[in-house]
Amino acid sequence: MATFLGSHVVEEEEVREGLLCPICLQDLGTINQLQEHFDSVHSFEDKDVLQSLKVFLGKAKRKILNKQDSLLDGSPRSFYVDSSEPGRNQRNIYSVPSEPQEIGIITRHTDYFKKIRDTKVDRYVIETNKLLIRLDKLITDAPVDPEKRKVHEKNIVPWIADNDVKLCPSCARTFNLSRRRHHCRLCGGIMCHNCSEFLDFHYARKLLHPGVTLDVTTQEVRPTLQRRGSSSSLLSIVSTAGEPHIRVCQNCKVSLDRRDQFMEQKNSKPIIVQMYERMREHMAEVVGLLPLYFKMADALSYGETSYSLKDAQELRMKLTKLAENIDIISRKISVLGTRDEPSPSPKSLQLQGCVRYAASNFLRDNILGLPSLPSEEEFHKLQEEHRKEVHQRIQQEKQAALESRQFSPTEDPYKRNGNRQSFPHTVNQDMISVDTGWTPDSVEYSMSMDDDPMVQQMNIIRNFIKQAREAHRYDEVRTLEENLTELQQEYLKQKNS
Amino acid sequence: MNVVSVIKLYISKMIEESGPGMKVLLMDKETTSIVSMVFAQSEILQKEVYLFERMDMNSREAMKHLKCITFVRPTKENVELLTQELKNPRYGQYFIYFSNVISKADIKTLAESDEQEVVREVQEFYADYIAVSPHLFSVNCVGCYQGLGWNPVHLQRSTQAVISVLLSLKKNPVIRYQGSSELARRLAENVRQSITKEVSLFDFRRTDVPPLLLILDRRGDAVTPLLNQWTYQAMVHELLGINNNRVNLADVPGISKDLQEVVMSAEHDEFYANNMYLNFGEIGSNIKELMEDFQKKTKSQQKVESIADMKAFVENYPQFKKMSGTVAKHVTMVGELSRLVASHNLLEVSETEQELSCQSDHSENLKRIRRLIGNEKVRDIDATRLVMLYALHYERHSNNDITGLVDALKKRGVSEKLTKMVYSALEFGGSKSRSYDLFDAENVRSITRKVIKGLKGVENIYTQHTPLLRETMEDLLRGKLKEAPYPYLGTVQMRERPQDVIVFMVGGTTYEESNVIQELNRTTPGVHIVLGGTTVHNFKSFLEEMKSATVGMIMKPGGSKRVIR
Repeated sequence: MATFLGSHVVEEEEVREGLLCPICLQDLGTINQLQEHFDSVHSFEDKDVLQSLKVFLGKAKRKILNKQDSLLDGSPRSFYVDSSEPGRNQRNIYSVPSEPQEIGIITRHTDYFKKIRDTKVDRYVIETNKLLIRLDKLITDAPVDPEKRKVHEKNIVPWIADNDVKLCPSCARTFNLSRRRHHCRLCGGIMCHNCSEFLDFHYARKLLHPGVTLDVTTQEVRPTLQRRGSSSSLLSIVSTAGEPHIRVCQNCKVSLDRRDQFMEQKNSKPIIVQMYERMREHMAEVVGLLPLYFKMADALSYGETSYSLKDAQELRMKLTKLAENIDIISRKISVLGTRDEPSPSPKSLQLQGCVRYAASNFLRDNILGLPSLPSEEEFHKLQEEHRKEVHQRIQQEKQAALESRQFSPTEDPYKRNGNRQSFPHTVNQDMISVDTGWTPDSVEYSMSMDDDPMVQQMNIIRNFIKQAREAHRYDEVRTLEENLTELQQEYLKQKNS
Repeated sequence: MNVVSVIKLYISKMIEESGPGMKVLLMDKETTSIVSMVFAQSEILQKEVYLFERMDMNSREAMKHLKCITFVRPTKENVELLTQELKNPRYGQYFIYFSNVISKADIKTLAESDEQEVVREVQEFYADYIAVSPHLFSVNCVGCYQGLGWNPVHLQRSTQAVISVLLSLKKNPVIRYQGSSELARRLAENVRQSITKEVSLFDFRRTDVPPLLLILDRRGDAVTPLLNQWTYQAMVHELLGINNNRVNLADVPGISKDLQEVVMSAEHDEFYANNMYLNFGEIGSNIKELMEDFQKKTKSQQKVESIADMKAFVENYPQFKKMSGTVAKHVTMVGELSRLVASHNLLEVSETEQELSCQSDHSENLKRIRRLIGNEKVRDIDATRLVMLYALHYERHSNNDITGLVDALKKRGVSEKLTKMVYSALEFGGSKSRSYDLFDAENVRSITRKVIKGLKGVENIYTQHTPLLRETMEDLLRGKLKEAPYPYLGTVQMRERPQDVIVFMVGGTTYEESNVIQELNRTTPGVHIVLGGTTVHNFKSFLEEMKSATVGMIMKPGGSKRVIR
């Protein structure tokens, strides 16, 4: 990628990179500016050289713009798409290239669906809410004394008169001495004892405050909450365990149970989901860091100095650590519950197995093929080679520039280098405009005010570098370090003068 | 116009819309095929879809922490099953996608059963056909003829498939059809009706040249599916059978367990993608190359001595493993194909087939067929297909000896079921069902072709035949397809040369024809053709097709027929 946007020597040893004009070495901010500059300033120069350079420029521009586009798309894949991506190196046999296929027509019925559902669902939601309000009133300050309690209950929900109901509405049997009438405390309706349901207060409280978790003992009690054979009406207030509860009809119970289930689902998160979510977080982090690592490894393997080897090693460590975590979590998921009795159903085992399989695929595709970094010595060697190569290239370009200068003696390419200095003030703006939006936290100005502003600036930048490194923003580290060296040089110059 | 991509886009979108979290994909029998044709399992696992369930398989295990993506055809049964599902939902959330147009009444039924409010989306995604290749789709139904008319079930299914192709590709086409075919006309009319009914869906931006839908009938060219094939994909289908990209190799002698069923998908197999349209001979040399490349890699893999070697091994291992799978698959496949070719004398059979389809030397042809019928190595079905080709070619020849050949088949011990098919073939694809004389035209064409080929050098005797479709398409693209045999539906006429063409073959298409379309797409700039068929035939499935077309008729060599009541 660095074919042309490559490096140029400004002074003897230092290697500069940026969007430099190949002829006069002026640094232009953006690709478009560079092209413009090229067209306007050098248009009268040697046609052949220019033409080839122009083609070059065009190519580089396309590459960069593509890169930016893909960054904007948030699809880092394009950086490290591997051979596993089908259809890459094909000889156009299978698929004739044409314009990319767009998605076909889609018709959405969701709104219509919801409209119909809402009218239906609203009805029972209102009903359930009414029951809940009554339930709340019934269990708060319910008197212990049965008689008083009955009055209290009747005050909240008016009971249907006994005479109005001759048969139990759910089992259709007549009432008599042994089959007495009972009232639902929630709707006031009448049914026989066998058709009654009971709500204990804990369950009722859970219904009313679904977010609050119950302590263990009360949860144990719940299963005993069932219809009892005894016909004593006194027992309808206090269960065998001494737990207060209220009598309701089957309809009300169904509505409340449904709500309970709904809330349970909404609030509970099975262990597998929690583990899974953590695993996905790690995966997302890996995917986020990979493109950067590939870029770094690539640059380092060419001996470029844009990233430090230490940073890359650190990043590699971090990736390996994440991969390890993913591996561990997914393995845990795959054996989740296999030791328990009863062991999980085949379906859940299948699910767990598939999650594990997908995770190991992910690791294989992303981590196993991680390019290795050069060792310390190798890196020095590579750097040396790279420097030589760059040097050579620059010599050639100088030659070319000299030749072209003969055609246009008015142009002095080196004079323009002076324009490059205006960094210290733009640093902050640069940080903000970074595409993925990283900015260092505001820095505390703890240094004494009488410090040299240059020194202050340098300290700020050092601080930024530290932060950037912590956030794995190695691109920023690079630019910041550049700035720092420049500042230092400038500072020394000032001191000396 | 890429049907594989468009279906992939639809399915990816479904999965994306449900957001992050573990997912299950709930499908019916047909949508399962639709999805499995374009996605490999590992690929779809990466999208967080971990379980695949069939709507019609009754498992009632609840897993509320899963999101359910439901992708089904809008059939009565599916709506019924889905209603049940929603009343007692197994999963936490439902994202429902129908593969075609669904009625408002059905949506209402579903909405009313969703009391627990588990449904998040209800949409129509028009992925209602099997995408075989970027330019080839199928409806996967054999036997669409019922006594030479439409089987009503298949007519409806085909209409839906064509409509869904049009909607997914966003085309509102001008329609032409094969005039000699009642089936083609009815399908064309049904498609037109559906478009009018859903006119709001078909409201696309108008292009300069309108797209064209051309509906053809297999009966116009019954010769192509009778021939043995020599390009990789077509050959595998002919000799082993490709079913939803899967090839069953269980019958191959000495096959290892993990190769009993292999997937042949150009989307996921680069070697296959590069070789599927090549000739068997070329495949041989390519597979040798692949082998050598692999051996080189194996060697380098074997010496794991230093740390650096180990590192290299680990880094290359995934590709290595993938490659070893590919190599094993294709070596087995090609090995099996050459075994079949040798043991069944297919080279000689195929040469005779080609001569029968392209040349008219009656006595020579007859002699060769008789010789091959006498050859024990030749399979019964190959002997039968030779006689069928002969019958189709020399139906009107004064000295034809169809009965004699059928007797020879019987003498050979060929089952009556097969010998009868010779007459079925005549009834199905004989000269009166063709608007176009395949063999006469062949002569004119073969002369010109011979002149051209003579200049180019030796021609391949096994690939002399080109399907009728090629000529039809060439005429169409030149704007010279005659209106009388291929009328327009309605009053619309096209002055321009068509650019986007969808061809649909009632009664099934073939991989040889797919090959032709691929070639045309590649060589004609600006032209995009998509080919579809009620199915993709090989000889065996074509026999089924002809059988269902001629069931209940008694065929006589003379061609007179009588329908049994």
